[in-house]
Amino acid sequence: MWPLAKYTFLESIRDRIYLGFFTGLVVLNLLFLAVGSSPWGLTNHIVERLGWLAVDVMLSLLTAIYAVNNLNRERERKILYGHLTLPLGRSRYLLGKALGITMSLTLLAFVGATVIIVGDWYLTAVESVPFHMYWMVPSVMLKCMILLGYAILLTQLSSSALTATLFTLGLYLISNGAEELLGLAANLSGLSRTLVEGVYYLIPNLQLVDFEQASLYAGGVTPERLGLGLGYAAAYVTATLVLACLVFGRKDL
Amino acid sequence: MLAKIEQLTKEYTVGFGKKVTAVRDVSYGIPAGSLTGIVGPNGSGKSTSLKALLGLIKPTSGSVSLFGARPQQASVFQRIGYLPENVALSDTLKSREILGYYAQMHGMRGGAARARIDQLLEQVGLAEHTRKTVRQYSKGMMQRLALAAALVHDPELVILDEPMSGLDPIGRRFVSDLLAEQHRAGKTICFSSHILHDIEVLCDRLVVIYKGKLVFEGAKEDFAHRSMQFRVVFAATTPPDVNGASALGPNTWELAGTYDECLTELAHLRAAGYQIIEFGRKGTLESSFFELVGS
Repeated sequence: MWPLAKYTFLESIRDRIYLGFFTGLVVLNLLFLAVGSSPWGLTNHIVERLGWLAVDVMLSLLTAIYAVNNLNRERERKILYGHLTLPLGRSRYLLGKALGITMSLTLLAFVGATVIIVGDWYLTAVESVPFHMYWMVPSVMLKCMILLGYAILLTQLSSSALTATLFTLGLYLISNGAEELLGLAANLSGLSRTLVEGVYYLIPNLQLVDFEQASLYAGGVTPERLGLGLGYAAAYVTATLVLACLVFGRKDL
Repeated sequence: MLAKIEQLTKEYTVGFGKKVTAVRDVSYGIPAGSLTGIVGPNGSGKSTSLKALLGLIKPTSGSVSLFGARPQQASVFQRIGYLPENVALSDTLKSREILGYYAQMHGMRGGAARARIDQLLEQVGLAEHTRKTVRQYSKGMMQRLALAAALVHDPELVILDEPMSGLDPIGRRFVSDLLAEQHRAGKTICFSSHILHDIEVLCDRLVVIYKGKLVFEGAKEDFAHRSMQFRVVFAATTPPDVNGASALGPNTWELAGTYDECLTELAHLRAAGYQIIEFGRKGTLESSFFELVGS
């Protein structure tokens, strides 16, 4: 599985979609910094927030678009046949792909984070580099991994790349407001309440893996918060990947 | 038999429950050391049977086995090299990276893997193109790289689906030479093609599939004897007293028929004292194929 992860990482970081997002993210953050350092500029907190928002949104979009595109392209162009006639197996193929894509996303998250952190250090002119802000990387990555699990599952369930991408992006939007669903359920009763609560438990709750406040303003993430986020993401990713493997294992290619 | 397909039927559902049968009750095997050609027109079920053999699709009924095991067992692929039809490879990677991946997946590491990759790149004529990404390769170059990937671990059984499709004459010659070389080295090779000339030149065994059904399986010579036209050419100064003889030229006559018919006539002609000039095939594999499938 490891050779496939390396292979996927290499093909990902040279892919046009990935490079487009990579350039876009770096340029966007440099732009925020330029505006922040100008006399009519924004405060460094706003620059930071905008920077992290760009990292979060760009990585989530990239996860949905690139993961679906990569898997679908391999299926449509029959590159998949080459992989599946190696001593690999279908489940390990999906896991290897997931690992490789995660590695390429992590690289982008680190590059984005480094641009923001170095920029913040330059803008605020403090003596030490604010390394605690790197806690945003696991936060962003846990979100991406949950989305990646869904993207892989939806690619197996859908025959079109477009529908799989749209469903993954839709899920991303709903999942960012999962807690609001509970609030909505509290105001309902009967069947509608059960339905909304059901949706809340079914969709991923990305707010559970959001460490933004703790990373940026509280100097780091507490072990309890980190443990909860990691456990939740691990359970969710495992469940979606197991389902994806079950579907893929029964498919005619 | 290294690989065996028994009574394979594969049906596909094509919208609203409508079913299309790609192959029906097809059985054939690939014996060790053979060079088997699977022949049939486009859409006859050649690729479907190979995909079922490799576990890429699930049979509706029937069974398949590779080295006596089910193709779902990943370990059987240590012994198999496969080249899919209309091959595509990850176009952002380079040849060494792709071959390196295939080698690693087969447990090859370090210097041994590098030496094997260098040898194969030389063999398939891509040693000078290692700095290019696959995106910059022509179809022929991509086909040769995919062939190298299928051979990187020196497999016992090589299965190729339409390996010469879309190649120019030089590319086809290159692939046929490589297959012949692998066969001489003791490998078992099975390839599908609708180009009958390639099959005729290379193979010693034939599997003929037509409209999803097996029409013939056996040695190439058996196929020739069963369905090919043969002829006996003999000399006679006066019109011979032989039914069905036609004049080829001055004092030269020809009798045509199946292998068995021609053998009988040959014995009669010899007994009657005619001078035999030639006894051999009249048609090609292509004409026999059309006769066999009745079209």
